[in-house]
Amino acid sequence: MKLTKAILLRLLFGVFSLVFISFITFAAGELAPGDRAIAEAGEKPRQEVVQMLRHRYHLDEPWINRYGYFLRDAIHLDFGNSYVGTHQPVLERIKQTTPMTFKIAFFAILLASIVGLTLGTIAGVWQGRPPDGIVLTVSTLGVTIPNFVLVPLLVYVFAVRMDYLPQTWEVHLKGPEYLYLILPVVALALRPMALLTRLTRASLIDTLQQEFMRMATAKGVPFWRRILRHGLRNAILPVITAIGTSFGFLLTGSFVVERAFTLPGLGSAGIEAIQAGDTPMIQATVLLAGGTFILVNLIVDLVLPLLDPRIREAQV
Amino acid sequence: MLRKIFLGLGFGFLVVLVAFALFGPNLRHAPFEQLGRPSQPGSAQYWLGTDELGRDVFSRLAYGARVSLFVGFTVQIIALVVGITVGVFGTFAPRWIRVGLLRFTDGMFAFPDILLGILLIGVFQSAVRSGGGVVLETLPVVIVLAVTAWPAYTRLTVTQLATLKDREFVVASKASGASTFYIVTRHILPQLWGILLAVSMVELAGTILAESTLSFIGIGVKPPTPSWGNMIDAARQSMNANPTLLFWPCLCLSLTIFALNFVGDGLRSAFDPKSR
Repeated sequence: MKLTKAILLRLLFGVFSLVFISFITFAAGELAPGDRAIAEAGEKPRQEVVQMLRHRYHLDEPWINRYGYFLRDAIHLDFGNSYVGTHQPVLERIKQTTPMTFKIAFFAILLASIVGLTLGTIAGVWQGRPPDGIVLTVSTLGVTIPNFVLVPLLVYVFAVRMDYLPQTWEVHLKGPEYLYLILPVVALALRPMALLTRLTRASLIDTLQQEFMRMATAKGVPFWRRILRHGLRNAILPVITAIGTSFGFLLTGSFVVERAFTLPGLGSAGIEAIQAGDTPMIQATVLLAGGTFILVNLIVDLVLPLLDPRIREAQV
Repeated sequence: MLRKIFLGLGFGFLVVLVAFALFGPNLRHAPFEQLGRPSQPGSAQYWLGTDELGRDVFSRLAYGARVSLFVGFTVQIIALVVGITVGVFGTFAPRWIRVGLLRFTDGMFAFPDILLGILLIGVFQSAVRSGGGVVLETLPVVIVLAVTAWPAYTRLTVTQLATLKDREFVVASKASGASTFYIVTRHILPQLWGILLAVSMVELAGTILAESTLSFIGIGVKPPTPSWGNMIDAARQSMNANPTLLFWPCLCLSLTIFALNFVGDGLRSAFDPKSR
């Protein structure tokens, strides 16, 4: 079975990527100034206390052992305690912030997929005519204009000038939560939306020129049924792969958007950690974001053969 | 034809931008000094007005251009050298090195660059100081972006080499006793300069964008050193009082990205007749 082999290879590459990112994260922590013992010993520590803590946290062992402990702890979601402030466990901070990031990322990818597929289909069907021209121009702008230029623009128009929506997140919300999330989600979705639109258009145009589309026309399949059932169903596969990769843009984007709207999410927490030099929190942020990115792409690659018999056949 | 006009426009803009970056910062006022009253509109004395701390917006924009261009060009030169070298080794080295290199490149290429940036900058930020001139102020950003920029060139080099390495002129050269090094440097690479130049313009846009993104979220080039990214961030915070502060860095950044993409597209169609 070649398919099993392909799946196993893909899984192996996924595991390899996870090991790669965990090692880089570990190495960065090793090279960073300060360590866990110094952070926990407090100010002006006695030498014996530091020695004891160093022994407790295996800092006196070779690095390869420490990498082992690091992996074991990371699998148990134990990222240690924060170096700064109240030395709160990093996991608590992550639990507080991840839901917000997950929420905006989920709605953004949903919005981007729906709008991207719709606009891309419209542009592809009327290729070379006015609707196509408009969609193509707008999506080119969407790909080239950076989101931190768009964010202030959106805020200025909808929050400052028109006063429809709140400008930034507040500790005590003055209205329903979704009002506060509309602008962030839209800002986050714009770039993947533009990319998915362009890809759907290109893929659909490609599919519509195939022989079986002429066949469908010849046997009298109605227009929209032809486009949706015969065209889009084939054209959608590269788009699904792209939804997985555009998750990477969401990661980058959520840092920008969370900062711009002061949302209490993982991105904001990560930026705070960087500014405070809080190594364990930085490591946890990178591991979580990178790990999610790798897993999402792995799942997309594994699901694709289920959706498309041709990929299954080609690999068998 | 339209493409040629865009190429000309883009190139013209870039020439102006380079001049702006070279001479703009100290043309009339120093970019770091608080000279006038804060948040004033444009006037004969301060052409684009002053920012929230009373510094001249024009000279800060120009300094931001200097930062962006310096970071962009340095990163791209490093990325070109590393990327092409790895690409050549990934094509001609023994099989086990080749496979290892290309797998590593694929892994790096897929990795979201901002994450690596966060990790490296977050951990090594104690080395960042402001006030040391453009080179020292941007050093961490340059390193981070260079680490993430080279895989694009490796992939391009590998695909280009794959089509070139078995062509007749290469075989002929090999038959006449030329070494692989000679063939690569004298016969193959000279054919790639055009496409590499075109791609590097688009990549340069990406690098400038990444630098601005890092600066916007507060971990790239740090205030008081002006960069378009941290200017946008600062202006965003005083948006209610003075929205025009937001306008200029956004405009500069967007125009630069557009211009580089136009130049890249134009060059590509000039060097690669098939894409016309």
